[in-house]
Amino acid sequence: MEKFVAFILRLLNCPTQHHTKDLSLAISDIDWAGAPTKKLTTNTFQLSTSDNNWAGAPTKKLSTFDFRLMTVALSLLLLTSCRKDESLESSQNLVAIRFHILCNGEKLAPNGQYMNKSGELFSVNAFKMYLGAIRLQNTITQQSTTIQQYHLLNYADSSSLLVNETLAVGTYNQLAFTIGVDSLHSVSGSQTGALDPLNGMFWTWNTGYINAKLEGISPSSTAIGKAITYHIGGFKYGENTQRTVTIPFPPDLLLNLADGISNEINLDIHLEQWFQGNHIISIATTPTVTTPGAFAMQLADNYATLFSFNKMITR
Amino acid sequence: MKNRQSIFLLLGALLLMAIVDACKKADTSMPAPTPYTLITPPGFPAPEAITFQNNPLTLEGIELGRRLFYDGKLSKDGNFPCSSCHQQFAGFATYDHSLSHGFNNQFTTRNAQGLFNLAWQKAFHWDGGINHLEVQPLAPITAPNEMAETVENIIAKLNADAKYKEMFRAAFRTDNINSQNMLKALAQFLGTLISADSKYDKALRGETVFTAAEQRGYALFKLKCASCHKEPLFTDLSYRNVGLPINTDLNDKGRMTVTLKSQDSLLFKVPSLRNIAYTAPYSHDGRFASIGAVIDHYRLSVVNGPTTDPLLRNKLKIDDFEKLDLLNFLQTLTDTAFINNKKFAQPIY
Repeated sequence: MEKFVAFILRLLNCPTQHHTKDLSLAISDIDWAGAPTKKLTTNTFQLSTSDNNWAGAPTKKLSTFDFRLMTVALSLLLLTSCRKDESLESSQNLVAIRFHILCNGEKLAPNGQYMNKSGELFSVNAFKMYLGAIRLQNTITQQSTTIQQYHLLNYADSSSLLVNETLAVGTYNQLAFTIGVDSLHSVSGSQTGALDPLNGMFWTWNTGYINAKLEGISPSSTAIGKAITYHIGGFKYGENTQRTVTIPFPPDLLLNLADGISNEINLDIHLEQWFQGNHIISIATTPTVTTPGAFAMQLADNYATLFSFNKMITR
Repeated sequence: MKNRQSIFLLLGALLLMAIVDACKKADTSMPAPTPYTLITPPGFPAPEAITFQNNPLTLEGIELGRRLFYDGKLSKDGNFPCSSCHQQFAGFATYDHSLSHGFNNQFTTRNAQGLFNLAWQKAFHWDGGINHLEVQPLAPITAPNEMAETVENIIAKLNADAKYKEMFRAAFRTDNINSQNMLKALAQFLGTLISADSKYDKALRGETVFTAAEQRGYALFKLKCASCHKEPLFTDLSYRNVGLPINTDLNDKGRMTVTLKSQDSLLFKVPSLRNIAYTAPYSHDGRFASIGAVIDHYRLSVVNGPTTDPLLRNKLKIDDFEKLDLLNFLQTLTDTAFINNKKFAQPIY
């Protein structure tokens, strides 16, 4: 029990301290109409609101509150806007996510032969997957910070297996992301960056992103060249293959983003789960899926189970 | 207190402006492009809001789009610019070709549609598979039987071209030519191809009058055709099975190809009839050589299948005289100003 309380305290403590400090610095010149700077928390605002009798309070008092709120909003804006560039120079709260692509517990090898639950052998030539809204979360304080909007994992490009970002200070106990591209980015015309169509993850004939792609060879395949081809996408109602993944860190482990500390979250990708994570997909009966629909939905349920926490490296 | 408040408000506003300014992306050292306002023709609804939502129209952007549209660089062997299948003199359809030609002596499986009034469309292609004008060009560009090129190669070719460098700078204030800017420029050119100056339009505006035959044809049109070929776009943008027997060589299931739903089997988008005199041959696979043949299909040979449109199941009752009147009216949809508009023609540099 003691341990748990200490854990909660740790969780709550760190980020609040930092933010309060930043805020009080930014607004130290302003007359707070008697309000002590220290009490600048959400609670203070709720108190102020109830202090002001909204029906009968004189306008002057109301405006003071409005004005305070505005100043805080502005200060927050100051703190958040262009923050990235500044913090890159001043501090190194580096967070990285490293992905290890495995199959049946071994590191995936280009010519490796693997067996799925149906007893079918297969090898993998290509594996690509969109991760979206990659964020650190604190399930106690409900804080959340985005690491990256979209990232394309690509087995053929080892640099894509590491995501790096410098973030504001904070304490988090889980990582969350979506697999795939949301409908907004699928219906609003041309995109760039990770979503650039030149990444080969875009359906040109039936607009939409391929959320994940697995290609290889299997003696069980009935397709031309014994190929296995899974291009999984679909964003419309009833065929949405976007899935959310949450990776809670082990109970005694917190990710503490503080000055000068870098954290590397290591995740394993268990590729064999593609065929069996939630539904058994037999290569012999389904060697090819390249359209949205029922099979794509099943494979999406499967790829939602690929990820697991391996370790955290803190330097 | 009041004074102090206004000072803070002012300070706040200045602060906000400074923040916004510091975060701007475009390189402001380059001159700004000239904004262009799309004019909605009289009687037309507002264009689809999404068309230019993230793509403000500029003269430089439109001009860049025009150059790209006519440039063989967008195809693998240089022979297949967009304009190879979308010819201005044919209302930007392909003249006299049932199916389009592409890379390495290949045919496509569909008839190239005319390109005009695209800013009013919700979806593109005969099956409506493409949901935004900006991403449409990716389909013909990457199709192995059309332009057969990769986006990566095109971006490399454009980046190596000094003239394009200059034009992308002028249109988007960037030295970084990427697929997004290329597609936005193409959408600017394509979306501003507006055809609304035919005899029909002039007659409605009171600038000219229909002949007696055209007038009779128009009355008949409103009775028999306008529920699908809805004015003023001359399409209701819906997908329908008009009772064409399937071409077993092409085996094109139309809208079902993208929705995978059996009720969408053999449904194709209702095409606009504007500039119809220029866009022969007709139908999704170009099987009809003349407008008369299309009318004959509707009055004589509609095939009733599970998805045939209820409006056509009993065929259309059009006699030979009415057919002539109808043909007369359809000729009034010809917009010669559009097909001769130099602003839409191949640029000369």
